[in-house]
Amino acid sequence: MIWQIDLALFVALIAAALIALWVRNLLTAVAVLAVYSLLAAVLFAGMGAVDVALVEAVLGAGVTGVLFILAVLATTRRTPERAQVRRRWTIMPLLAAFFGLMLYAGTGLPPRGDPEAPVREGVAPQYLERSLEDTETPNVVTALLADYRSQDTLGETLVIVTAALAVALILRRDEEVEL
Amino acid sequence: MVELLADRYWYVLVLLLLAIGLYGMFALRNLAKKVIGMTIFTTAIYLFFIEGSVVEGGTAPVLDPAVGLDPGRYVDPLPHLLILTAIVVGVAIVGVALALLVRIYRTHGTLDEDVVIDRLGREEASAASDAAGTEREPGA
Repeated sequence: MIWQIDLALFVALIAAALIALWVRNLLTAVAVLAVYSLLAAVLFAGMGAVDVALVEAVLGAGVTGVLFILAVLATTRRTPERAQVRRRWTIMPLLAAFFGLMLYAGTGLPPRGDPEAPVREGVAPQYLERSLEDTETPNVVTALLADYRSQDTLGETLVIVTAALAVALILRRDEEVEL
Repeated sequence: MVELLADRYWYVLVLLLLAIGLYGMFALRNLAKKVIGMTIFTTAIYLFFIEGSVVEGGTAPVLDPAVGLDPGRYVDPLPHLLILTAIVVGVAIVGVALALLVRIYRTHGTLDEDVVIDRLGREEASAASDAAGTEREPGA
């Protein structure tokens, strides 16, 4: 990917994140959050992760946006005053420490796109080599998702069922005890 | 050090997004804004993982006879799979969090964290004094 476009997209991404947290109207914040997810999807596509880009655009921007809009319509779109100054100043040193620590840890990571990176020596090249023969699926991500790691995908559907059950239990209206 | 950072500007940008998400979760009072902060944080983690899958000169992991079967010509497919799962689970988490928000709003009529905590604290205090009152009665 051309690094100038990459960088411009990333700056737009950071701006969208800041705006989503800054605006007072919650519906506006949700719309900006959908823009944020779409920009992330474009970045995924630029890095060759086409499947992830599709899923992020549909689920990250689409379904999350719809869920947020439904929740905002069911509650309120107004937000109270912004963060209290005192709380903002207690959190800043913590954030700076987190940022510094992660930056320090990041210096130990391999540079971007390094073909000699340790992760390239593991199982990944073997998936690429063998998936066509084993599964006859040219898309390696599909082969991984539905063939090699289909039990992970089964567990994932179990997570969705559990989440749907939890939402139904939380939002249940009958037998509600008056507090 | 400067060279090291020029090579790794992606990590710095992802870290910035992580910090923004954490700020949203910790510093803001509105509960819906906290969920937005969490979404920003998780998406930053997705970006970090996909960034790790990039290979110089690699293309999307869809085997193409024109490109050949050499694994060095494709980006790493394994992080893609992990992040596909993570996105789906992330949407489930957001769904449950928003359901809790709706429930909190129904009970307390506000999404302001401080107001909710204040009300919960007062309820606890009155419940405690009630309990103390009923305990004292039999002895009196």
